[in-house]
Amino acid sequence: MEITLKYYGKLVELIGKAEEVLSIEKITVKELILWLENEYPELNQLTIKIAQNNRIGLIEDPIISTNIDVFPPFSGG
Amino acid sequence: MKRYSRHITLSEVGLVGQLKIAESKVLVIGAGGLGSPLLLYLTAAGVGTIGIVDFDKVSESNLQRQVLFREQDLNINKAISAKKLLNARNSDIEIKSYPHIFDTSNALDLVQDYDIVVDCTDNFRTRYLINDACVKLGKPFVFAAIYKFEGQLSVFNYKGGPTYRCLFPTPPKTGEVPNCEEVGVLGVLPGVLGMYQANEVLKIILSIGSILSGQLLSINLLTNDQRLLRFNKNKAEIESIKNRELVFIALNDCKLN
Repeated sequence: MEITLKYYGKLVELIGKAEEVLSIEKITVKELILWLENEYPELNQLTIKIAQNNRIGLIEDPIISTNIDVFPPFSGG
Repeated sequence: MKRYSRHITLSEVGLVGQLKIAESKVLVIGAGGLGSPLLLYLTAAGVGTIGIVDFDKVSESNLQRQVLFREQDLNINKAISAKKLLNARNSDIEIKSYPHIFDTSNALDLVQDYDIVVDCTDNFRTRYLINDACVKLGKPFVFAAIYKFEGQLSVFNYKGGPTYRCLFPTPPKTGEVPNCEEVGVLGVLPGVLGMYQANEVLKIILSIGSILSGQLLSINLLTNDQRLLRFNKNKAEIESIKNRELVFIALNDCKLN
């Protein structure tokens, strides 16, 4: 399945792009985060949340949506 | 009440709604980029009691976005300056200034006296403390945070709904998330987000519309992209907050205001 990852905030600069398309087999949210940390070591140890189909679910959830949002918490005010 | 006639004319507000606004008590933590527009609009709306917590002073680089303050307010404490500036705009309401750091010694006492808390801080340390104090005392808190051209907004602990720790259980590590001082920020960004916060505050007071509870609104001002991301409550997380003492997480990302 092809999924589109959309990055937010600081992740865009660390990864060097605002979005990318990925071909995946059956994976979970946790496995997707591990893939991101492996592909982009700059993300290692960062807080990352994944939303699919506009829902932020559990880390064990399978990736079933083709549109994935990948975002960190923001701090500024 | 003449000054509120445009509110009262709205069937969703009316005289009853305007009286609810007049009776409400809102605590604003942080009188900076988010707090400036929020405070101006809550004052104009006639929120009966507004508390402002900020230990910091107005500095020159604040004026690019903290639109409440003027050049002559430089070097004056923000909570004290804001009280004076807001009272000049609306003398009917009570404004209390707390020119201190919001910390474990005063968090519960401050939050206890208010109906709604608004998180206009720029650091995780205070944000987690606001969350935990609000969970312990059963108060809703209206959250926003910004990064360069992007913002995040939500209402936590609304009628027992999801909290900040349900979304982000673990505080980020030192230096993990930069603040405005380090990376810069477009001046209008906190303006937009602060006004969204004011809008949620008024909706909560009036019990109208749908509240951003269990939803994270993500806004990008460069692309105009907006997402409404839903998330669930983590009951275990909420129970553990209720059962432990308030904690200040380790000093990490940035200055406290």
